[in-house]
Amino acid sequence: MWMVPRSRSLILGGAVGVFLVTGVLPLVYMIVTSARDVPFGVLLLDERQRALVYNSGLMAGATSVWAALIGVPLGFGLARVPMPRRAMVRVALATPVLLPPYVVALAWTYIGGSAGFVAALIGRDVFSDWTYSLPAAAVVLALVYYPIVMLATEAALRQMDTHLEEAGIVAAPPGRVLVRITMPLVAPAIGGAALIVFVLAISEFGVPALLRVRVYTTEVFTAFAALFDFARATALTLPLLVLAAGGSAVAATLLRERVIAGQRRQNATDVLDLARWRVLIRLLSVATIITALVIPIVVLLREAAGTSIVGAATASWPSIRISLLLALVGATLVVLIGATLGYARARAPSRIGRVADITWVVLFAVPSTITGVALIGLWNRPSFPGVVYGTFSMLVLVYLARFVPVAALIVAAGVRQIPVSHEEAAAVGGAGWLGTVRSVVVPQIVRAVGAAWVVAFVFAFGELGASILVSPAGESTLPIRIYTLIANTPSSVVASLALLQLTVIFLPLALGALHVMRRSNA
Amino acid sequence: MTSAFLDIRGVTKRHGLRPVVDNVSLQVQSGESVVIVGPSGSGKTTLLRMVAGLETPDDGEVWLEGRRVSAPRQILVPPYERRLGFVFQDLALWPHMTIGQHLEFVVNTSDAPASERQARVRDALTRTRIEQMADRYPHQLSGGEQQRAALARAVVTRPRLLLLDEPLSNLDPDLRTVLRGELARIRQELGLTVLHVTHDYQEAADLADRVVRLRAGRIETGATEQR
Repeated sequence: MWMVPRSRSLILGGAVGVFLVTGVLPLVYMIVTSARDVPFGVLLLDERQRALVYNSGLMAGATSVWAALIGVPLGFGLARVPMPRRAMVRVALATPVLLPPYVVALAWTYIGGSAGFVAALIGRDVFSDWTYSLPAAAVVLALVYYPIVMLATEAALRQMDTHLEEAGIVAAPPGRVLVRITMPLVAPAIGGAALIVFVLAISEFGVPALLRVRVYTTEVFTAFAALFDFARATALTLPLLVLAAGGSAVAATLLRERVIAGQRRQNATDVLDLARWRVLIRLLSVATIITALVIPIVVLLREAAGTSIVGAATASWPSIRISLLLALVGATLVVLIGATLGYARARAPSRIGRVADITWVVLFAVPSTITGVALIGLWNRPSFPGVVYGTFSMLVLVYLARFVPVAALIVAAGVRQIPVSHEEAAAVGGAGWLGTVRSVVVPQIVRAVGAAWVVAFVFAFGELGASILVSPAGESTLPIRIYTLIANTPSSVVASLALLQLTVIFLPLALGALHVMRRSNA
Repeated sequence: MTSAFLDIRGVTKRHGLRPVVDNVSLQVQSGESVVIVGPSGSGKTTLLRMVAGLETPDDGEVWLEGRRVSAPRQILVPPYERRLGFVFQDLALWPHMTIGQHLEFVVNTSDAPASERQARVRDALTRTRIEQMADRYPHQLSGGEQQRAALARAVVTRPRLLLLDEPLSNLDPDLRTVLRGELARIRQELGLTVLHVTHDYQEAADLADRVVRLRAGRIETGATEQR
């Protein structure tokens, strides 16, 4: 007998359907069709391929090592070392992860480039070879991604049962407890986070492209955008896709649910006596904030001096307007789908939930250029779906494909804090599922949903790797415009636009932080 | 100077303004087993943690074998130099180590030669009847075996003082009865001085030379009971 589907099944099923069509189908279609059309000969390890593998692996490996070297001590500091205004310090230290990596790279080229600050200061060019190099790309990426390791380390330390360390300190001095008990217990979280950084770095397009480092992502872009060789571009994505998917699946397994920070037990003695490191940790925090956040902004401000930001903005207004509009619409759709999926994940049986977590981490780690190639492969056709291709809708599809997993993970973490009994109590009282979600669940996850929206907006507004491939001919978003202006426009104009981009990114972050502070004060 | 093996002198601990342990004094003689009984939130665990050096007293002092080990807001002797064993309520077994590695980690901090350290590990495993479990990880053990492993870790260094924080509270009644007997036997065999906290009066009656009742952070007047 035909039955009217219940609201819960309709809404959750609809969200899963949209997610499958926008996030999963393009990749599956690309992999399936590549078996038929793609010249796999390009994957044979000739010298050019070996250089790509070597460069991509070295850049990503160096990035994750640097990120761990910065992030682990900072994570320990945030979790265990007495620190005034800890919440503010954490926000400042975490902010670089939201900066578009190519904007940070741009700022560093203004310092170390042949006409940069250092060359102007000492009268000759000594750093530009190094600035446009693989090690420099790794350093820039580490300065953007270290917060991932830092936050994972802090979360793992906060979630660790303090009795485990206390049981050690009863018998052994702090150094031995740190090495034999604390570090092994947080190592999976650190390893997982470092692996996530590895995958993000190997997937990054803007930084190696700007710093002229030949890696897989830049090769995919060249094959597609310069050589118009779609089959070669698709073939080149496959090793990268395997690396990214494999690495992120292992990382998600290692991290489990550690990305959600718990509360450390109050009034517990710091058994490892890390307080004695407070001066060093504070110095490291200040140095990191200056290097990763303050210097890039100050350099862009200095470079933009003499050019009216208003003038630069007016000249690029069509790109700014469409970027804002697309990011607003994209973030809202991403959160609508992501929040629904996040709710479904939080209430799913644990095994299904783990599979969903790993799938989302893997999908988020898919390099942006691969997402772009996959979307083009699916939507660029003469029949019905083709009406989407060549419009700005493709950019919204990019945001849905890339950022729904992040929103779902954030909201799932929020929903899991709500005991199921809250919903059961409403159901026993006679409320329907929609009414229960509206009255019981949503009020308790407002902050998680808000955070997911801000993150989606910031990521969407800075998206470059996929946007540059799928953007309609003759149109550009702000990141694309900045990227294309770098080669043939005065640096002051480019710096002005980069600053404008940072301003738009910081605005929702600042509003969110203000809101949290007001709630805390209340 | 003090003649008691463990001398807790007027110790107070506050969480915020609320005293959790309020001006408690207690002496424990060498070889004695003292059980502190009280309801949840009476300050038993906090008192035990201050004796171990895991928390500082806000007021008062703790003396161990005639040596002042804690003073107001100060740890004068760190926990690992107090030569004590501690069994936590949740056992706190390290998930990444086998039971043998647990015991080796603890015993390797002692000054004893390597051969004696190995002998001590074997002895602790034998006394707690988990000789066959040395190569297993905590999650591969039953609740009772985990309890025995935590006890083995606490006694492997032959501590001068054994602190027990409701070690049997998470077990079913039958197993609790069996392990109570085991605890009493091991204490007798090793001649340990024991400070044990529990909310279970039966446990206190079975294991104590002396029972002390704690309520709202204070020792109840007339509540010390010699057995």
